[in-house]
Amino acid sequence: MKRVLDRNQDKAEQIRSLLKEKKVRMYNLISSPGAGKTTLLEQTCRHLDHQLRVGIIEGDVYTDRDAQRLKQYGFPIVLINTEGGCHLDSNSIDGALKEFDLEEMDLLFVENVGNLVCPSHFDLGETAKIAVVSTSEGDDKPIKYPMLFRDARAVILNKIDLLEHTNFNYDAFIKDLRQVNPTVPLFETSCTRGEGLQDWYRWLEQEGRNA
Amino acid sequence: MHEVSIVNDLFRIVLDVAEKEKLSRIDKVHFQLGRMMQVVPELFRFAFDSAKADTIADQAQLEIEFLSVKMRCKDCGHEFEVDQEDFCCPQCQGVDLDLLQGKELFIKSIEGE
Repeated sequence: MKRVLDRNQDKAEQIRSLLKEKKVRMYNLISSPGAGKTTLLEQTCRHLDHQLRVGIIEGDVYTDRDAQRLKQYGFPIVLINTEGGCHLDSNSIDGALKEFDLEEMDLLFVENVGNLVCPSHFDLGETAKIAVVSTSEGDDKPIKYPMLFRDARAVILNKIDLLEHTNFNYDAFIKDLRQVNPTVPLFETSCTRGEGLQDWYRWLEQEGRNA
Repeated sequence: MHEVSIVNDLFRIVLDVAEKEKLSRIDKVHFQLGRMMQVVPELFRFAFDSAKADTIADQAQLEIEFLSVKMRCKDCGHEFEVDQEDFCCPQCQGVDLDLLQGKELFIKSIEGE
């Protein structure tokens, strides 16, 4: 019996122990395209400015547009173009990590390729996965993609300001999410308006103290 | 499209094993696939058939055995199969569950000579 993806898993474990040794936390942000990962990172970087030493690994299918958007905050960014690939893997993260000075870093965000299925299968050696979902994409995501929502250490429900303009059934979303993952912290945010982000920042700080 | 990455990894292992076992031809690969992995079988077969071209597995058959999602309820200990989307214990309605089966991507056997 041979396990497929063992090579990815072995590399991920190496990364996990390296990050632990260097006391760097790494969060793997997973969502559909357009849920708001980049805007969440923009807000978060702006908030964390000078409080924590942050780095970003930006997964993009072809372009550097997201990396360009994030550049202005002055944090080190490494872009990984997957050239059509639908997810990042631990080997590409291993390469990206060599570009950072991990001694001078507290927190790393990985913006995975926009996709809810594939990225959740590939362990990157992250401290935790964060699932980002938005009200404009429908309320059935937790039950359709249980693997991600079970594994996530936090869930962000973004575009909460658009709720009244969509047919997003909030109660159904909560019921499904709680069935798939009864205890995961949920942050309801509008990353464009900045609503609800304080709780997310507090959670990030708390996680740092617990690490 | 994680099917392609999984198949690439599968082939690396299959060809490795074939080399170690000194096989000159691979006839069949028996693969176990957990339902939680959301692999699309048609895409997986297509990726397999593309990958096998020009290798010693170019005539190989792919046999996929699906494994259901099984959970154990942390509250009452009941073990059950998840039917479709029902991530809930049928005995006590508990939702705090341990995954027992469903994430498998295993090569169970390779046949060849």
